[in-house]
Amino acid sequence: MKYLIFLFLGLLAQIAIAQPLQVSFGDLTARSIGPAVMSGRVSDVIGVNSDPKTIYIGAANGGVWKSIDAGASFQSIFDDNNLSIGQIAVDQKYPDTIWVGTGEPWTRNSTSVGTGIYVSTNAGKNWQFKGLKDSERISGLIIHPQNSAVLYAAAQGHLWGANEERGLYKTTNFGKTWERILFVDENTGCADVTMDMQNPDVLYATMWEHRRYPDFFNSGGKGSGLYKTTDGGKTWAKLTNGLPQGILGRIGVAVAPSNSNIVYASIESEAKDGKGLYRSDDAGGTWKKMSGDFNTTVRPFYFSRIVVDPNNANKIYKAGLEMVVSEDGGNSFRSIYSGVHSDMHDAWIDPTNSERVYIGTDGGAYRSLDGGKQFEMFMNLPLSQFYHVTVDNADPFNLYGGLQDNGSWYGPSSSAGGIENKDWQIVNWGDGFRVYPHRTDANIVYAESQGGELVRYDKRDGQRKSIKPLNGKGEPEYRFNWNSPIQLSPTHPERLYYGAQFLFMSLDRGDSWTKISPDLTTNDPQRQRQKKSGGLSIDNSTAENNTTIYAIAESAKDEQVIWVGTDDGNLQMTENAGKSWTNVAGNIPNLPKGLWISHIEPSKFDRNTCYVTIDGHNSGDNKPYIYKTSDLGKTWQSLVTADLEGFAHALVEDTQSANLLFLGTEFGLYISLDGGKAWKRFDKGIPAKISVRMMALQARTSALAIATHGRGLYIIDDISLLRELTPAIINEELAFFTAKPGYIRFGQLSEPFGGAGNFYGENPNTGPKIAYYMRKRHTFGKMTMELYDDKGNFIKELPAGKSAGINIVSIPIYLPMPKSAPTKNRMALGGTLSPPTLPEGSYTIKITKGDKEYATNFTLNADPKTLYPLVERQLSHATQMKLYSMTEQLAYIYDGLTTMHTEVAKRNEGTKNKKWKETLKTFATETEKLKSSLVSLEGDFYIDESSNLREEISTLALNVSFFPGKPSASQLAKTEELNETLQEVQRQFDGFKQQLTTINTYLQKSGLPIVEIITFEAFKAK
Amino acid sequence: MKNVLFLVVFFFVSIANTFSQEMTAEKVVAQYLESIGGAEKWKAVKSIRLTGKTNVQGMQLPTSVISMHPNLTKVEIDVQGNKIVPQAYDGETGWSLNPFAGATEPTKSTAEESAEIAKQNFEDDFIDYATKGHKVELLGSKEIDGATTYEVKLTKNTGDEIFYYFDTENFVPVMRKDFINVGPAKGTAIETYLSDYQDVQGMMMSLSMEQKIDGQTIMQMTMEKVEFNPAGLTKEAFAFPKK
Repeated sequence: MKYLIFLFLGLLAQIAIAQPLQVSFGDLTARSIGPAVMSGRVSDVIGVNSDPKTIYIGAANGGVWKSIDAGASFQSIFDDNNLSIGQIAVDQKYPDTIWVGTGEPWTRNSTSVGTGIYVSTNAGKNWQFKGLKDSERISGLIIHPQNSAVLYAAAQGHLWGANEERGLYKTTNFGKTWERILFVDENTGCADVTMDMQNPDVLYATMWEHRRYPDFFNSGGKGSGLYKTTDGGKTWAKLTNGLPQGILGRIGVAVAPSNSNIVYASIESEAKDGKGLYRSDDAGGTWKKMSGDFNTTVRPFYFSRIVVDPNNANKIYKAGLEMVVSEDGGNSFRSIYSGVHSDMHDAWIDPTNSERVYIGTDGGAYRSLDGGKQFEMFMNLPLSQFYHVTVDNADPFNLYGGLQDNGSWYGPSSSAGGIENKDWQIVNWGDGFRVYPHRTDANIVYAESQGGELVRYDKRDGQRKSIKPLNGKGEPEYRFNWNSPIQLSPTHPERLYYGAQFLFMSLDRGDSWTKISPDLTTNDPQRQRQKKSGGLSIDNSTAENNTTIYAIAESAKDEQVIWVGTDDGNLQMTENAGKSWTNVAGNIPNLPKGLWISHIEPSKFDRNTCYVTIDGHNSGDNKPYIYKTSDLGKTWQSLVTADLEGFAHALVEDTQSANLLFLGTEFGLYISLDGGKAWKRFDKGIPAKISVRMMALQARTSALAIATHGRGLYIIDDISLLRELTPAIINEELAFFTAKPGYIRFGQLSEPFGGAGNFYGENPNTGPKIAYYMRKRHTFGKMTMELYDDKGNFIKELPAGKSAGINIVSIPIYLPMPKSAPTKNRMALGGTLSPPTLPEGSYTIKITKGDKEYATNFTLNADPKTLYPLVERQLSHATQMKLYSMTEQLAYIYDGLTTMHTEVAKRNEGTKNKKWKETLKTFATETEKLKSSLVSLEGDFYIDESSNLREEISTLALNVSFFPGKPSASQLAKTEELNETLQEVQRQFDGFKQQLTTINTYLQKSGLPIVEIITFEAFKAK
Repeated sequence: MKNVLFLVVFFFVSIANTFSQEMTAEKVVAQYLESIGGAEKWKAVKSIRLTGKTNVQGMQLPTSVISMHPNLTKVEIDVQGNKIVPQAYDGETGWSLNPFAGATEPTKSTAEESAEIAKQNFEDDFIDYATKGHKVELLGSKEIDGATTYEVKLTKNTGDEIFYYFDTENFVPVMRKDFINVGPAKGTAIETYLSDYQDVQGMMMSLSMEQKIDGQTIMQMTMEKVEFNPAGLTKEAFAFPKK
């Protein structure tokens, strides 16, 4: 038995040792900086019929956003769930019930994957999962108008593979169970569904056979077709009368809400002249082609939605490259105003006023108030879909990155008043991907657009030069990825790499290139089908370019070591700067062949160590693949644990700790503190399941920049704390992190009064902070935090952080407010509320937690960028301190005079002696008169105010307080003048104190209690 | 031998599992009421006065909170001798006073705002919640402030929903999440983090609370003195001040 226990304990101990480092990140928070200036792809838009100010925006990869004020402001309401939105349905009978089908139905190469259907019955406060987990994309969701428990869900199914959970589904029990009521085969999904709202048993559904491959897209097949049921899905009829013969592709369908007989369909067909917009006037019985205009036929996989005006069966909106509108039932179309971003996906028309139209595009959401002529953009939706991020070393540093259909940009990590849309600069148009600032020349930026269109941008004049390598005579055509790899050398500021199937290197900023490799891909002709890609509609956009280089990395420890990863599964390595190459992919155990090498991260600490992430999702494999080698690729070890969700985009190693790794997957940001043994999702300030495409460490500030594909850029300001998270510290009840010096920084002006509708990205908190780790959350008992100066004088109490994990507590840099006499003057009160800063110097923080005390020190320094020399800063501070103590001196006198006149007046009532009665009365009157002369209590706190000594001192204090340098000569002279006045008041007060001594002698003799004036110290403590 | 060991380990694992599997909202609430001293003790409390400090924007301001059965309340904050009443309800009308926002005289709340304040019950909503017509639902488990919690949704008889996060070890809430129901910020979540639970006359109370919106601290309050049924506290203390 004893032996058994011993063994058991032994086992536990082993578990403890092998236990990976799991911690709580506590207060460590990511901040969202947008941008929202270009916003991002919106897949679905819907409103509440009975309250059309309430609208919901479904983002392709940014969740669900709700506005209750017609778009003036938005709240994100789906952040805990999958953020790829297919379709949102509002139960118009009970509008607090919102259904969300996840998985975008617009199946471009970069689309994400959904995880089924969710419902909220409280307008988005919390959500319940409701099934169809494997449907991957929900293209339609319709609630029965009379029975809220009945829903139809169009499951488009897997994009990169076959699957069973696709077709049209119906629930009659509020999503508890789903019945598949229309199914063709495992390659065909339901792409659209529409209901005749007058006869809810009548539905039209479109089936679509389609598939993506890494190098090819196919739309169309025998499975595609248009179907109708008149019995709620029990039986279906395939509609063909008047529709094109032969194979069909994607079909969009819509019944006019105001006329059950009128149905529109956008048809993709094998027959070229069959493509276009069709109309039926007999509820689907027969069809007539109305238009084959460009926007009624273009890219059906991306644009197929038809929206019919709920009040006018002849007014239709067809989403295309442009949104086109027909007011004559489809005979003719006009494009909407051209200032709107192209690539339309959805529209919602307010049924109470058809002039109000909301649309979703590749560049955000817009609102029209004139029936779709002019549109305003919502500039407050940070849905930007970044593919990548880099940073520079400016102060504040800038972030650079490219976005889906929205070009390449850079913007600052902080800006007065918050990071606004106007802070962002565009450097290239098209689809944007990787953007790199030159390492030493702050004016030069490298950017690209799809298919390898590389440019060099100069910030000085805003001009771009195309620097794409072009194939020479006799050379094969260069194959560039949709998202081609630009890479800077970490060892040489002028060395630039770029990849097609060959690796190129430039030493003159891209003006000339040297090919430093043979074809590093498989060069498999089977994977070179771009020009034929698209299926029934050729879609030769470079999105399916394959057998290309996708990742490049030079080792910071050895410039001869260069790694290259391809989109067809090769992982090549050279140890001699490209003279010879070895494909080491075959050395990776259990790795399926041909998957996409998404990122390569050579270690910053060891030339032989390298990390690689591999993405198989476009081969139908959504598992993460992450590997590490410590012998230049001969052997590999997987860093995948059960903690991870989503295919892997990138792994970034810290600049200082080899154990600290950051990982981005399709479903979140993960951090490992132990070199990849354990991962923990980071979800503070950033949606848990956001697609993280890349991260970049800003070495000077230890900030981590995060590129998300759907919610813009985020920054975690100080990851240096994570470097200190060792097993020793995480077992402490409370342990301080190394305190960094704090800085005294003054606020800057920002433009006010933009009203609602703008996005403001959060600024970093640059004030002094104290960080500590606690093993457990402090929930019971008292916990306080106190600030002391270097002489041990108590300054103020602060609220302590109570989290398990990392606590970050900001230290206010201002002294406590001075004790002050009352006022009804606004500026004067402002002066009292703006005390001087703490002086530069060192301070102690003491935490009392239960019966234990913990202490640490930090220093408070001047802003390193201050323009003002020490003597001037000291003069400013001394002047403020003088006004501060004058404020308190006056407050003390005011308090003393108050005691004098009120108490003496009371004693007067108990006095019978006539002579003394007169003396006491005069004393009370005179002390009250002096008191009243010191302050202004008659004002309205705004425009009807006056000013006495108290107000003069505080107003001056306010004006001196907001400037860190030398006060003006006038301010200095005024300080002296007011001080002289105050000292005169003090003399009068002292005179009254003398008189009071005499009075007290009398009071004592008369058996009356004396009047005592408390000391200044007692007053301060009051 | 191996089997025995397996059994021992399995035993430990299974305790943990059955525990969470069998947890219900009803049990969480029952445990919670026990943790705070029992419903009966709390029912004897008909009014309360709390005295302490509010930390806002780096300033520390003396604060007092009084509340009374069934829903009377008044918060008073002192800013350099100027009184702010961010929120009060006298049984009929909500009112406030904030000279810093230009309201130098007490101002009555709109009917809509008053109705909102009136819904804040003095008595803990979890006491006899079923009799009162409130509903509770266990939504699952969530990490809050690094602590593992049970997420319980309280749906009040008014239809309002509050989300509570009870520490799984000791069943006191470490956070509650309310939603603003009126005004331009309607729908915004307010998270109130609760800590420094202390025994006050046999009743466990959180004496430190921090409110956050979108992860940003709006204010923090620490209470230093708690008085149950304070002598002399009457309805008049809550009344809209007469001129």
